Amino acid sequence: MAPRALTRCSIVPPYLLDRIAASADGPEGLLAGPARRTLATDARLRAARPERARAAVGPVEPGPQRTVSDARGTTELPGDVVRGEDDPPTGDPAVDEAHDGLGATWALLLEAFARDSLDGAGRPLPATVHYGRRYDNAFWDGERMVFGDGDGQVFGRFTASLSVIGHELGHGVVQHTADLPYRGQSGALNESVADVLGALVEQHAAGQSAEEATWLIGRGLFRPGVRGVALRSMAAPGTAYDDPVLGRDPQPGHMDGYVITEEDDGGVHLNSGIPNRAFHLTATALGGRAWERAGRVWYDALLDPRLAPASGSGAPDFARFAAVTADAAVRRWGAASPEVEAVRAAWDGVGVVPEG
Amino acid sequence: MRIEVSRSGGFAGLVRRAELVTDGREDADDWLSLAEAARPLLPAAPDSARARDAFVWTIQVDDERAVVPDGSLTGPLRDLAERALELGRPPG
Repeated sequence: MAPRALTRCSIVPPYLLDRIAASADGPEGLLAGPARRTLATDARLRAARPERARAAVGPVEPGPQRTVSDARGTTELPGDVVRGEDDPPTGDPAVDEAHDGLGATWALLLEAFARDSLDGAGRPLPATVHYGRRYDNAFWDGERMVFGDGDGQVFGRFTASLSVIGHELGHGVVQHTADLPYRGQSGALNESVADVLGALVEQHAAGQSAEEATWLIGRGLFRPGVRGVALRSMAAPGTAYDDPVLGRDPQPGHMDGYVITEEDDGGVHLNSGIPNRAFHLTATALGGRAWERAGRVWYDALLDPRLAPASGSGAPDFARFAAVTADAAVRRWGAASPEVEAVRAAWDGVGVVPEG
Repeated sequence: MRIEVSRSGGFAGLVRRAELVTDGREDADDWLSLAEAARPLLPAAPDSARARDAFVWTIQVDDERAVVPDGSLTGPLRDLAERALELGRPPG
């Protein structure tokens, strides 16, 4: 009977590519915003470059070290290098979006958290685009970010959303910090932290406040004709899409809807909706730029020894993460601060009781 | 022979499933030889435990079942899984 357990998770209906009619309309309208924003970031990074060159004998001015490779439709990694840090745009949107997105992520980490790259020590940022054929995914392979072009019917290329690029690099930041085990609740936290960083990269690049932000992850990935705005909504998990073919966004936004499943490493991309919404509640309660307070709390939590792999107390669950974020807010702003109140109310709002 | 495949996980967290019964199909022999080449249903390469957002495949051929990370799914087993997902029918 064990195999039947696999199909128990019926919350995601069958997914049939062929039934979606390809549209002649391109996704350019959706992409225009993110593209403009990353261009602005790129200009800022380029402006910093001559100083780095001059500083060769002194302290090195931090800057991203990006390398984008092209798998040319194969699944061989890393592929051929097509753009290095100092190279001009190639004209290939996937290559240039990856380059710009890596830069925007690097800029958020440095400017918001004073962190130089994924490891805090200037680690290079490698990416591979055009991975596989009609490949409907982007992933972090432990070393680099990898992007497929999408099937062209449901999904376009995965570099088209800055939040996706930030998300994948977010996995790199987690790997170098709390390294949350990728299963069950700690896996959902790993996913959620990656979404938080992805959203913050987009907001930081656009100069958006918590009120102005979309809080959508993967906006611009769907091809025209798909009934949905993005893959996930941090503000309202479960509402990002509702499509005859894809089905309905299955994310819960409260512990009442927590999904138990064997698939997807124990539902890591489903239950991440719960801590995602806790972050959104914190950020919108505080208002302003989300990376300055809510983001800072979450980032501080990642560095807390109680979440570290060597803590000896098992994989962190939502309750421990909630306690660690509340403590992080106390340390930075004091026990009676609005920040602490916002964090506590947020976890309460999603039905998570912090570990005592 | 009965083949069931699911591909879960990935950035989108969407699950695709398909099943296929080879009996009576015109291409039944092709499926049988592909399944033969794919056996035992084990990943050919070790997977990176550090991979995140990677697809996870579950492949069942009659009573044999394997759960294989995308990065380890190679050769005939990958052909079997991808073709079954493309050509099979949604379960239920």
